[in-house]
Amino acid sequence: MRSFKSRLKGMRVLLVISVILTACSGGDTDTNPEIQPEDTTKSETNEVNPLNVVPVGGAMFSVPSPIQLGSIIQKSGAPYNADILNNPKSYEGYVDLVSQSLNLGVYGADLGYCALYDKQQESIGYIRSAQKLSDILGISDAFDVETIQSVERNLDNKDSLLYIISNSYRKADDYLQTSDLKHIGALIIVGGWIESVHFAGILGKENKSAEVVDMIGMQKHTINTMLDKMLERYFNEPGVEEVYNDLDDIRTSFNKVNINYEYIAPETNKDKKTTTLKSKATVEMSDEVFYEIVEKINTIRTKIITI
Amino acid sequence: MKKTYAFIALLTTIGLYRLNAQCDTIANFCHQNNFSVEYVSDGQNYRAFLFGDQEAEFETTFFGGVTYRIAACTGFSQGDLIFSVKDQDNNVLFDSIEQQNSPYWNFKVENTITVKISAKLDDLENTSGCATILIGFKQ
Repeated sequence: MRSFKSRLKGMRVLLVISVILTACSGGDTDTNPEIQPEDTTKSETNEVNPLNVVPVGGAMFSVPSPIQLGSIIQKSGAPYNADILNNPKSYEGYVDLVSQSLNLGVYGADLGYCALYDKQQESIGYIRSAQKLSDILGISDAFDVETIQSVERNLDNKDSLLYIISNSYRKADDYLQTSDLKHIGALIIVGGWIESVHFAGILGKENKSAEVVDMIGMQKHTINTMLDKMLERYFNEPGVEEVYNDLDDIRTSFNKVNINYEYIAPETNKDKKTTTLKSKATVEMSDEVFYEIVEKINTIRTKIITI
Repeated sequence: MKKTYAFIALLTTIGLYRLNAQCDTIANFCHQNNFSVEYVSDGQNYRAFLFGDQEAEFETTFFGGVTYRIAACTGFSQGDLIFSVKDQDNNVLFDSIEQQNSPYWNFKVENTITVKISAKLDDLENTSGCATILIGFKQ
């Protein structure tokens, strides 16, 4: 007969199995990103508790919002340019899951761009295309009838429109993270990122300002995250490896970018609940590398949107 | 005894499944309570199950000239998730524990930098939970 101690041990094993099973719910067949222990061999001086750090969702979420990048471009004074956007009617030609997911991301960036420039009719076109693709992908809750009506009611209110659009994409992300469709969420993020860096690239070709160089150069970190912590996990899903390889080619160009960092103490205003971050990162990138990245982004973007 | 094990495992699994389901709604709660039209969500939800003193961490890029808002939640009450912002060299730029566990904080960014955002449970409130962080930027 087994001792009480060994029974207790058995119960612990069951508990651990239950925890693992639950954390893996959603049918994700990959290594569960939420409970991966970090490499404890790293020596980081100010780490609070290096033994217990959990990477969040594979850190896939550190990709900058397309609307945010679009906002920076709009604030730089660049004029609206419809030619840099995807055709909203092209959605009918995207017949496979990979192109539908990537282009839902592209349309999100285009929608944000139109909203930022107060292009109301164009915004309606893109939200309808986004709705069609999200229906096909099974995430219609993100762009339901209520959301579309809300967008139409707020067409003349840019702030509300951007709030609704970004919240719709957040809802889609929320749903996809808890389903078997995490790779779709990853591809939507990739599509949005490609489109927004494409916007920055077009702007940079016209006027290679320090702001644009910073914006593109700092994507070096983003592309590493997208490849190593996001897409790599979905290699078993059809079409993902091809997207990975295309982005990996762009990474070889980003590897030629140098980023130097200087720490400057931040300042906190408790009353305003605001901390001002003063540290600096300086991007060093030659003209040759800049245009190489812009061209590669343009090539992959053309491949994504072409029917 | 086998039945007892199975029963305990079942209860535990059900309990943890409920926790997972709760995770879905925490993000919406967190968004509704900490963001207004003034701040646009970055369209993503950052979350992880945490047990005990585990810490969740991810990196993101903050662009110069932009004001960001970070909100942190792990349940349906405000301030039960502690969050911090560190730079790439692990210098602590902000820690919510020094601000009475404020559920959100704003960051005015002068220059584009990469930061690490981490979160852990307030051990006085929870021993496990779904840590959810949202990021928005000012329009």
